[in-house]
Amino acid sequence: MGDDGDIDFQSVWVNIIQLRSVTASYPGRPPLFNRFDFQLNAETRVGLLGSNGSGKSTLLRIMLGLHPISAGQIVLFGEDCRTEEQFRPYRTRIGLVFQNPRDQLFCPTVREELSFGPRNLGVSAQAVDERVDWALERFELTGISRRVPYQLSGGEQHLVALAAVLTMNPEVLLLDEPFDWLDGHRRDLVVDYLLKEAPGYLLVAQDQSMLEDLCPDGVVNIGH
Amino acid sequence: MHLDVFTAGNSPIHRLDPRLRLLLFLLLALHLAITTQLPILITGLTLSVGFCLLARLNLAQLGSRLAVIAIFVLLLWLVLPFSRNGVQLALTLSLRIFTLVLLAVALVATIPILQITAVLQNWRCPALLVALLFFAYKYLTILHDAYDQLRRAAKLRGYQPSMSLRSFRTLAMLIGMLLVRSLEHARSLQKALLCRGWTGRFPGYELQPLSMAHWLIGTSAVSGWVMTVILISRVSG
Amino acid sequence: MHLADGVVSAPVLMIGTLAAVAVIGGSIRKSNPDQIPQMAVFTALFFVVSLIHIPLGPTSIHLVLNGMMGILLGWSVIPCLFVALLLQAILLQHGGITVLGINVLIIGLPALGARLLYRFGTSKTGSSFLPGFTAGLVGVLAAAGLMMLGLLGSAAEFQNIARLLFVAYLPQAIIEGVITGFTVQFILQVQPDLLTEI
Repeated sequence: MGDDGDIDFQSVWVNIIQLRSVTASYPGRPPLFNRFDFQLNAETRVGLLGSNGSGKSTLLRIMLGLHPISAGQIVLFGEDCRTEEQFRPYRTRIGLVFQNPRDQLFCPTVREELSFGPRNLGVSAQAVDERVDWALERFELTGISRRVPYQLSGGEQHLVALAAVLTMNPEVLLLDEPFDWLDGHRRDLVVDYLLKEAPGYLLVAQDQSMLEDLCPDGVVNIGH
Repeated sequence: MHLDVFTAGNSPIHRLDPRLRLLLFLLLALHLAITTQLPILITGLTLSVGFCLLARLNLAQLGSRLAVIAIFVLLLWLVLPFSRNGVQLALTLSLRIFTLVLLAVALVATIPILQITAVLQNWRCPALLVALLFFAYKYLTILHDAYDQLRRAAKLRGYQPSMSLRSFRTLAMLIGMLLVRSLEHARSLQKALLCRGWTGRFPGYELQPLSMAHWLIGTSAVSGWVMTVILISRVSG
Repeated sequence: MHLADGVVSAPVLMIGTLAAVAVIGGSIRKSNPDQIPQMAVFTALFFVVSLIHIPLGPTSIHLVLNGMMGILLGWSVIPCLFVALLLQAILLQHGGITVLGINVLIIGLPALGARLLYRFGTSKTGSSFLPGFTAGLVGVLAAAGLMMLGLLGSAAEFQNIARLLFVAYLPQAIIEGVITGFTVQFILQVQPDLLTEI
C-alpha cells in the first residue's frame, strides 16, 4: 500500500517482539504467564492458540506495555522497553486490533476513524487521504465512509477497526480473534488481505482450523 | 478501580452501626465547622486523630488524601498572615480543615457506599437521590473501565495527551463515546427495571432498628462531647 | 472549586445549605424518575471525568465539565451533581460533606446557566462548537466566581486567596470550553437526540 518506499530485505531477520522470561498475572490471581519466552520476527505469520481465559488477549497487551509484568523483559525492535515513553513510539509500528471492535472505535465517521492513526503520526494530509482511500476500497467500506462507526453492524465495525490500524502502515499485526465477528464475504476480504498483502502477523484464536492456512510459520499453544 | 480504600476492616469503628457513625459525624462536624474556639478545635483534632487510630486506617492512603489538603492549607498560610487577623484565621482554618477531613475519613469513608444508601433510605431521604446513589456507584467501575479501554485504543493509534486542539478533540471524542455507550447500557437497565416492577425502594437494604447497645453508645458519645465542650469553655473562660 | 469542610463561615454555611435544599428539592420535582438509570450514568460520568487530569505547567487540571452536564441534563443536573459530589467527598475526600449543599450550588447553578447560554447560542447561530465552547467556559468561570463569593462572604481576609483561586481557574475555563465545544459537536454527529429536546 505504499507511499513508504522500498522493502528492506534485511528486515526478515529482525525480531520485532521478544518476550524474555516474562511473568505476569492479574492482581490476586495465580500467574497467567511464568517465565514465558516468545519471539515474533518481521514478515512471519504465527498463530497463538489458547482457550478462553488462557490470557491470549492479555499477552497482546503485555507486548505493547498495556499490562504490567512482574518479571522479565519486553524487547521491541531491539529496545528493552520498561516505561511508557519507551513503549509509545512502537505502539503505532505494531498494529494491535482488539477482539471487540466496539472498544476501539470512537470517531464520528468511518473516514475520520481511519485517518486518526496516520494523522497522529504526522503523515501529510494528502498521504492520509491516500491511505484512507486505499483502506476504504480494499475492505469495501467506501459506501459507509460517512457513517458513524458506533452505529455499524458488528462485521462492519470489525473491518473498520482493522482498517483503522492498517492505515498506520504497521510493520507487524497483532490480531485478537479477528474472525469472531466476520463471516462470509467480509471474512474472505480479511483472509485475502492477510494472505496477499499483510506484513507479518500474530493471529490469536481459540480454534486451530482457522490458524492452519494462515500461519505457515507456526502456532504457539498457550491453552490451559 | 480501587475506590473503597477505608471500608475494609474490623475495628471498633467499622463495627459501629453506620447510622451512628453518620450521626456522630454530622454532630461533631457541624459543631467544629462553625466554632472558633481554639481549645475546642484542638480537642476536636485530637478526637478525630483518635478515631482514625481506632479505625486502624490504611495510613498510606490517608496520607495521600491529606497531602492534597495540606497543599491548600499551605496556600492559606502563604497568603493569610498578611492581613490583620490572618494568623488567627489561618490557625483556626488549619485545625478545622484537618479535623474535619480526618473525621470524615474515620466515620464516613469507613462506611461502604451501599450501606450509606441503606441509611439514607432509612432516613427517608428522597427516593430519587437514594436510587441515584445506588446506581451511580455501580456505574463508577463500569464507566472507568470503559474509559480506560477507549483511551488505550486511542494510545495504540498514536494519541498523546498534549496542549493541542487535536488532543482536546480526541479527549472530547473519548468522553462523548463513553457517554453514548454508557447511556445505551442505561436504556437496557431502565427496561429491566420496568419489567421487574421496580418501585423505587431497595428491599434488600432495609436496616434493623438500632439495638440498645448502640443507643447507649450514641447517647454517651453525644453527652460526652457536650460535657467536654462545656468544660473547655468554663476552663478557658 | 470544590470547597472543603471547614472553610466557610457559619452564616455562609447555613444560608448556602438552606438555599441548596430548596434548589435540590425543586430540581427533584422537575426530574423524571423513569430516567434514573440515565441520570446515574451522568452522575458516574462526572465522577470519572474528574479523574482525568490534564497537566498544566507545575500542576494539573481536573476536569469539571459542569457546562456540558448542564446542557445535557437541564434541571436534573442538580440531583446528579449532589450525588456525584457526595461520592467524591466520601470516596476521594474531594470537596466536603458539610459543604455538600454549597458545592452543589457552586457547580450546579452555573451548569444551569450554561444550558441557557447554549440554547441561546444555537438559536442565534447554526453552529454548535461556539455555543458549546461558551457554555463550557462560563460553566467553569461562574463556578469559580461563586466559590470566590463563598470565600469572600466567609471572611474579609479571604480576599487575596479568592482572587488567586479565581485567576487560577482561567486556563481551565478555556480548556473546558474547547472540550465542551468538541464534545457537543461529537454528540450532534453520533447521537443528536441527546440534544434535540433543547
